[in-house]
Amino acid sequence: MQLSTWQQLTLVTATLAGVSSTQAAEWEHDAATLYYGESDGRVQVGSLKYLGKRENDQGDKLSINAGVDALTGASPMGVAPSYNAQTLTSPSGNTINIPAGQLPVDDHFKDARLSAAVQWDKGINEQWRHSSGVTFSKEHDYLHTGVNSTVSRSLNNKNTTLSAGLDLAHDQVQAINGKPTPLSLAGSTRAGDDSKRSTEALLGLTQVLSKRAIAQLNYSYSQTSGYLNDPYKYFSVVTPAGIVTENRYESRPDVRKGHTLYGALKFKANDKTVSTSSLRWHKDDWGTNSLTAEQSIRFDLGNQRSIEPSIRYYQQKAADFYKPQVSSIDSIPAYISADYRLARFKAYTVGATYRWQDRKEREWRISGEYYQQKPVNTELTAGQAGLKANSGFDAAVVSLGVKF
Amino acid sequence: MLIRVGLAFALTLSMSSCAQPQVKPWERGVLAEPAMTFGHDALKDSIADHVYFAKEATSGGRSLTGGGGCGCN
Repeated sequence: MQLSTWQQLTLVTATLAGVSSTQAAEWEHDAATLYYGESDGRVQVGSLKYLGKRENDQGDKLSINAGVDALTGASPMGVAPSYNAQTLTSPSGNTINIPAGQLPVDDHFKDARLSAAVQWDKGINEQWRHSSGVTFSKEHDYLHTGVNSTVSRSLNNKNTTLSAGLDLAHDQVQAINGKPTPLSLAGSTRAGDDSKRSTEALLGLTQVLSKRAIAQLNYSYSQTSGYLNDPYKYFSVVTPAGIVTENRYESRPDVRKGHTLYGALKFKANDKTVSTSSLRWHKDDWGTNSLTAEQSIRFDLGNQRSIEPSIRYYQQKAADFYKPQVSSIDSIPAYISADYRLARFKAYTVGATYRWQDRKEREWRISGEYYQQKPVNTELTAGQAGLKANSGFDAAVVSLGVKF
Repeated sequence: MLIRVGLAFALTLSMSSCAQPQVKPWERGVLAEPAMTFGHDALKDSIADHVYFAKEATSGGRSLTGGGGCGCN
């Protein structure tokens, strides 16, 4: 059989990539199921995810993502704990009785999320590539739509790749019972939807450092504007004696701008060991500056099996407007949120992924992770001494996936 | 800020020039392995990113964020 130059090149490329020429033109599927569960009966999530990829003879790639998530459990509302029992109406309209001394949570929430994305990656010529895509997700109370585009250029005999990308999103907040007016009292009239717009620009550099090491460096700038409140979060006004006198809806600024620097390094230490390290530094005008460090080491166990333990450390500062509560003797600031995700905290993740291949050459993986979020400075004083504004939580994440 | 970013890029670019002699195409067997490829586990990465997006104030970094969602609760 006489192969053309192009066919020979395709065969060589596919062989170098470790797949046959036939496989290179077929769909590759990646499906996964996920369970995420927080301690104390808080948020529980079950998910199904799918990623399909098809690469043609020219190396152009079509990717299709789809997913469904089901969420339930209890979620902190931002209401301060008190030694007096509390009865209140949750933002979604349910009456909730909070026993004395417990952190108020809304244990009625349920939601489902559908998501989909399509991405097309095409080579323009030997050096340039272009990738564009659309993203979509729908929850009961939220709609996301987005488009993205990235161009990349390889240099130095393909040892260096530079890329520049832009992501634009328009989201609609369709809060149950309508959106609340910021700072209004709990139970106030809620009405209508609102929206937010997001822009993210990313500059990337991928560099081959040696035959066994490759590095990536990304800088991204993000700007989000519009309705940035969580429509289901209150904050409390509390007397020095520890009595919650009123709950009000949170109020966040309507613009957020941030810078993120991300670096990653992959290094094959020996024939059976690959190390992946990454660092991420983030700074934004809300004050939620953060640092993230991740490390995993993949050990080849032979017979197409591997184990990859991983650890992750994350720390963030509190948003400038974060307050666990407001004293009744103080005035209420223009911007305030008691959302625990805007508090100062540290988080730790430890986990491992085990991969194996079955007789039909399907690559399976099972991952287990333990996540712990530990807030800093949460002890309340005076009439609430001994209580915590933010208790933190633990979570378990288990995922089973297969590529075929 | 831009100066810091520029310095970081300049540093990495200079690292890339230090990496000479370049790795030739036929010397990339190890770099072509799935475990050595950024984004090889795209689905696994996107699952992890969405969990952290919903629970922490910072998201993204390794790629354009995309996806989105409320992240409420």
